[in-house]
Amino acid sequence: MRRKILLVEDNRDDAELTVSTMKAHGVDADIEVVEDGIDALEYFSRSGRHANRSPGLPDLAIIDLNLPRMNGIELLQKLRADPQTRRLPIVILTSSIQQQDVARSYDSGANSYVRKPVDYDEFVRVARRLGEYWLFTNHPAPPSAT
Amino acid sequence: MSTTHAASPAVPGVEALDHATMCAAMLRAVAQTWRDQLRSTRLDRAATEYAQQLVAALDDAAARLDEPRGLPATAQDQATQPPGDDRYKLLVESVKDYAIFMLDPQGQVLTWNAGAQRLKGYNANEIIGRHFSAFYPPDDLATGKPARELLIASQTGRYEEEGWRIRKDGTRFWANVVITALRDALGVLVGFGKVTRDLTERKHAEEELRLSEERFRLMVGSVTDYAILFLDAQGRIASWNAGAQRIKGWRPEEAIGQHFRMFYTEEAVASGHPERELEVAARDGRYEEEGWRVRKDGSRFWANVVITTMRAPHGALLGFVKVTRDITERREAQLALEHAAADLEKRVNDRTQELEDVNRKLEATNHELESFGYSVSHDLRAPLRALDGFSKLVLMSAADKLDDTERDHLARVRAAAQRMSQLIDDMLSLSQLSRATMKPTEVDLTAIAREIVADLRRSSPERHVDVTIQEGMSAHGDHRLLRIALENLLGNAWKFTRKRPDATVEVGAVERDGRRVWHVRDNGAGFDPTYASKLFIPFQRLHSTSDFEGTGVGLATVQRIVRRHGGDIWFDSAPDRGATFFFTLATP
Repeated sequence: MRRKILLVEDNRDDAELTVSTMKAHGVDADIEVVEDGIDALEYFSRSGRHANRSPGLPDLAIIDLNLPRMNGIELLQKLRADPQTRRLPIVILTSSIQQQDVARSYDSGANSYVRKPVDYDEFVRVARRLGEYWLFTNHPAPPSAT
Repeated sequence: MSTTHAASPAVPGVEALDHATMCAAMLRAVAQTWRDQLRSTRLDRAATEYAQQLVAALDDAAARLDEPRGLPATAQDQATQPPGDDRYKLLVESVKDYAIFMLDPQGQVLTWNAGAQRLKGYNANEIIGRHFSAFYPPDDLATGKPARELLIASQTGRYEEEGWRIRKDGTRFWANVVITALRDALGVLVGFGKVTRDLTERKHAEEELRLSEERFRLMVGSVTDYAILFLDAQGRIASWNAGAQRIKGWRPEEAIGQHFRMFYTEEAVASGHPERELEVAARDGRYEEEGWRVRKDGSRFWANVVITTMRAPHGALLGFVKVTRDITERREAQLALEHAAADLEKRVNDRTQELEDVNRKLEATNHELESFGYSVSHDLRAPLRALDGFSKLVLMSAADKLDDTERDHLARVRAAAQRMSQLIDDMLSLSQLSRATMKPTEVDLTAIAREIVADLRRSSPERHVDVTIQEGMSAHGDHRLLRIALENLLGNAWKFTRKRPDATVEVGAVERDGRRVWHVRDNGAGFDPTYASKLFIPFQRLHSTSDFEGTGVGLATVQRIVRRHGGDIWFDSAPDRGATFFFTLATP
């Protein structure tokens, strides 16, 4: 069965680059892109524009921090508070290396925090490792926080 | 003295005298003198009782002498004289404090007692029969005073005065003199009783007192810095000094007799303030206040006023002493001072307010800077990533359609994007450096330098650099920041000696002018000190990127760290002759 990744990313360029690096470099997965926290919550509750999607959870959620309407941290907290998504692997993928962003992400229950590199080649390496690790090497793990 | 003198034939006309009548009059005169004395003099209780007994005895004796005598005078002899007469003689003769003697109607001395002898110095036999004008000073004699006194006594029954009299030895004494006319039962003048007291001591005391009062009056009167005045018990002005005139403006004749409320403002008078001051002074003995008072010309002055109560020894209120000072200048100085203090306080408050405003603005600015930094770190990278990423995608997908120039251009787009990303990172860390919290400890700079050099050697194993690090260097400061500073200085030294086959780098410290000065020295490319002003400015570079890579924030970072430690940084360099960077850190 094909793996599913939910990518929460409002920047279309970033979203496309992320998808293309993953697909072009060995991450065999369906990648669904939603634009912000609200869109993501509707995806999980199969409401709004996601009302007709097929049921089931993604195998991995990749979330940017700086999002319109509902930011990544708030979304992360809501997902960890919901029993359905409590154990979902979640990776924060963002441009920020601010200490407070890293700390808040882990405090809110992220499984990993990865900085988006500017260098495409570096980005490819990061995306591939990330996909490999969370989709194929690591079985769904208990979240580091509840 | 003896009564035989009284009956002496040497005194003409006295034979006809009813001796007892004369004695009775005499006794009454003495009693009256003592009564007067009792009224005007405060004696202790025992003395008063004694004096009262004496007066009673005198009155009693006089009454007995006046009693109608059952026996004809001719039938009386010396042996059968009434007992009152003897008592009188004993009494009068023994009195030593008073000269008591009798004069005949013309003023000749008839009798003499022990007091008279003591006071005036004459024995009885020296003076009896002489005219009493012998006791008077020459100027009184010249005006006929003795005769005038007798005339007044004979007309009114009594003459009293105080005046100078002369003793036998010619010395003067101040005498209280009472002359009483003595008449027989038919009213015929038979002579005078004369009672004299020596008041010289009292006179002296009075003179002393008068002089003292005069001196006091002169002193008070001449004081000009204070208005000193006496008020009677009702508050009317009884005296006025020069100071009162100077301070308040009224002349003595305008002020004396007026009520002292004229010194007060209309409001104070209307509220009964002057009277209240006297009430308080009368109750407490003293009243003091500072307040407005009014001068004659209507102007006001700020006064310090002390009112002190004067009481008689037995407690009766005599009046008040009022001392007033014009302290307008002092008050104005004080007000000016208070005003200045208030002004200063206000300015301090204003300044504090300004500083708080500035602080708030700074906080807001800092907050904005942080948001800006966040936005830079997050949002500026996304476009760069797109530039780099899509360039790479084009390079991959259209590799066979592009010529070398086109591929080179796309490679340059990617290099520019990556370099800008590096600039953003450096800028962010530089701004975070200024805000980072300092945790000062004792830092082993020797150990840090060794670690950094080890890292540098690992990152470029092909380099051969001769590194000397002084032993035992330690400093008080923030470990993390000092490490960043040394990383930059050693990284620069490492970088700029790259083209030297004999590269040397030295880290050390020396004492200079009581300060510890650290240095990092290399023999690398160096730089022209002409451009040194640009050295510590972020993103300013003295070498081309192609010669030496870097973003130009390294030395700016070092300078900020040194400054945050309260130290200085400077350098010594010339092109191709290496560079030495010196720095100090504040002693904790």
